[in-house]
Amino acid sequence: MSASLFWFVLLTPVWAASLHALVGRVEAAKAQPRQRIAFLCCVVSVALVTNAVLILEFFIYAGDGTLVMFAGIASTLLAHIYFHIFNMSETARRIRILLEIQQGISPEASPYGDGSMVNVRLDRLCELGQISLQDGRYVGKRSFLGLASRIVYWHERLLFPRRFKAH
Amino acid sequence: MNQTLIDVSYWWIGLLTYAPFHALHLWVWRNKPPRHEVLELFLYLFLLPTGIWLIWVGLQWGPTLSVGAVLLHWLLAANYVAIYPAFQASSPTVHLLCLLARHPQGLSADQVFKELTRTTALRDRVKDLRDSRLLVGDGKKLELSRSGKLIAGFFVGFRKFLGLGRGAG
Repeated sequence: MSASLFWFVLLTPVWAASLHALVGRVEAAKAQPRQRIAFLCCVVSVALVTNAVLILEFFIYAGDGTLVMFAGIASTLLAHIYFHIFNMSETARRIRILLEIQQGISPEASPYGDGSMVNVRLDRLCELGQISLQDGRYVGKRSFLGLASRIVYWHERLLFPRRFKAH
Repeated sequence: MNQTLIDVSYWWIGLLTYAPFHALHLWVWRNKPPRHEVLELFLYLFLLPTGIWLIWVGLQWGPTLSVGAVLLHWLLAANYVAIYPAFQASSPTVHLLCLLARHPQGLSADQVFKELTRTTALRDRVKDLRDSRLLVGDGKKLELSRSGKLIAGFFVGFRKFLGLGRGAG
């Protein structure tokens, strides 16, 4: 693979972040859930990078078709890292606590407590269409995030079995 | 046209080499949970495999791994490190979705709150920050350490770049 194309693939998070910064400022995008916009920017970046490799390596340089697979997998993994960094900035409790303390708001004085932590997540999941509110009760839906959550949950149980014995 | 080429042949081997080191990480965490989790994560998923590769290449035991294979191994490791906080801190979103999956009839907000805060509370996250030395001080006089300031500064700058305010948490 040519070095310039290799670096182009490696810079997938930069393309995703740049696209995200542009799209996020569009009024229509501001009305959408933030994670949905971030996810779409990652998908578009991966598609652009993979197609660029397809066109350049496969059609112009008559290179190996598996290089397109390599570019697709590498750019997906890179975009996934970017998405998680964004997700941390949006949803991580520890990041919020750090930023509040930086602004001089102690955890005791913060309006962000266990109640708001739960409510923010319920609202966010409803907005993303992952759960729904029916007759005052929150109901789960079949979704990719639900499946991913079960995999994460079981992996957590594998990693920290003592944590679950107490419950 | 002359161009520099980077060897990405047999890149898929990098996907296979990751598995045994992930299994090692699982085994260590289950049997002897480390005190410095992030450091040991880097040890098992990055440093150890890289060390083995360097010795392999240095002693010429066999064919060298391509840049593509090494990159894919590191990317898998980096992705796992990126999602590791969800395991370490018992992600409320993960637990919430699994909780609702176990109760198809649904749960009220109070029931969700009672179940979630049983397994994951904010005071535990403040303790995590102190244990990781991102916060220093005690009681009401908590301050950011130098690393805490770096991390906070990064996220503030990142959010500004995206044109967003602080995340909701």
